[in-house]
Amino acid sequence: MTKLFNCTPKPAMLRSVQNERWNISGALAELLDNSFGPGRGNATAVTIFHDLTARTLTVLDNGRGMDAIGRLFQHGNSIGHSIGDIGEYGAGGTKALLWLASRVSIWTLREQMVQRDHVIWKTGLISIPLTTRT
Amino acid sequence: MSNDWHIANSSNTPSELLAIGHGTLIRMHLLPTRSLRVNNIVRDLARFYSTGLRKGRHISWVTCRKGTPDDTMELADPFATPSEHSRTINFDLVLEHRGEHLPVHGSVIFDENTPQSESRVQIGFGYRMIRSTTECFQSRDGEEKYAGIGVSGWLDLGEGWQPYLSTTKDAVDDAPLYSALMDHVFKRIKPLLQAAERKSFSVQFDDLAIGLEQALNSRTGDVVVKVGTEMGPPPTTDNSTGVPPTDHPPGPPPEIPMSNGRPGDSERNVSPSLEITIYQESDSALEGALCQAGIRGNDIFVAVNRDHAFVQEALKARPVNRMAFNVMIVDELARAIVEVDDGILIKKIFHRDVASAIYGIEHNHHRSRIVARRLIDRVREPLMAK
Repeated sequence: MTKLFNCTPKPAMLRSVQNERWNISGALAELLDNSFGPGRGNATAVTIFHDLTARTLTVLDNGRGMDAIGRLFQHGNSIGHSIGDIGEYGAGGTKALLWLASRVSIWTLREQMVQRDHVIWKTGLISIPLTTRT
Repeated sequence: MSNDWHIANSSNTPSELLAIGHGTLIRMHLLPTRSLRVNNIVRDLARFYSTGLRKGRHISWVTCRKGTPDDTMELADPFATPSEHSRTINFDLVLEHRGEHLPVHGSVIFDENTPQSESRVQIGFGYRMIRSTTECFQSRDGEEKYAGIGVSGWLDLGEGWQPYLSTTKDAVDDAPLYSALMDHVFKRIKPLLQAAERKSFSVQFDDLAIGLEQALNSRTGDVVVKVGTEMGPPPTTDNSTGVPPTDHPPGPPPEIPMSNGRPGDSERNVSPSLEITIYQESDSALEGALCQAGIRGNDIFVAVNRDHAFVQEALKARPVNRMAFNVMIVDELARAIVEVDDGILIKKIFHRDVASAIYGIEHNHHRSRIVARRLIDRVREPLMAK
């Protein structure tokens, strides 16, 4: 019987994303694509709040909201093509969150219902993998 | 991650999102390694989403301190509104590619007020600009190229183009298709590119004219005075002085003027007395001549053959090959000066000693050579100083 090697990427792989050469404009544009995409948020307006004191960037759109916030944190989770939509692979938004932030909070609102969560990349990506190895 | 839905209220939903009633809010605590240059980001985002902004999408940038909004910027389409004198070519076309019909619409404008940095065509899809290019400023084979300064515009790719866009969202990932689009645009906007080039050449000629005008009107250009330094020996043809030999035309070289050497002589302001206009003319109008100069009173007109490859190459060179033009124009100008000289013009242009030396030359043909050499020396010196 053939022996198989498990090629599933390790979570630590995501650390490489944080070290990629990129820029803030490009990363924010990926999030704005998710807001404006007709098959995605289909928003008409996006506001970006930059809090100088708290060192936070907040992207708020008036779109239809997400069907599951987990999609945004799963690399490659995409709704695929839709008319007039430039996104396809479901990778840009996730990458942007990884690259920009150490902590991410997200709320999505549709039909008076909210889904929310918080993710701390720093612990998940840097601290835990490094300490559990030893 | 949580996949639960709760009834939204002020305790579980940020007030900004609650106020809108639908949408998504993502708050990111920036990594310490990320630094923001807000002006650059706002400029980039306005450019990326220029297509969407034109179609009524809104993007705002709000700067806050301790959670309180301090300043709000509304992003606007960076594409400047063309002036009344601009010329526009509109596009509404469909490319047929592998049995698919790919629509494109847009506008390309020539406006003299558009700077070189903005002289590009933006290609957008949906709400986003995917590429800003000047590839449509040249023919497919690259034989015909234009700088296109003042030419700008946008092309919006319609439905059907998605599969041909690169995953990086900044290109059309189908070279033959993109090339066909650029070629079509080039052929359509060629009149604008040519108009832009004529305008650009005129500006270059105006610039050349200024330099030549200064050379003609600066009689002290014959006297080299180094302010604040000790005067060296006057230049002679003797190499022992360390002055490099100059290439004299055949025949006796004109006498080189001596100067009293008063510091500041070369910096005296001499009010312009001769004015030069350099303009472009067709090969047929010039009857095949490369350049033609005429003098009427204090006005000098120089026509340059815009159709000749030498002229075009010199103008398209970056930086523009000024010396080539100066040689060509000065040579022609010298002939015209000698031809129309009534015993005053040469005196008006040159220091009296130089003028005397020129008048001392018997043959007009050689006289014009010396005038040309004297003028080119004057034109060359400011260039060398640069």
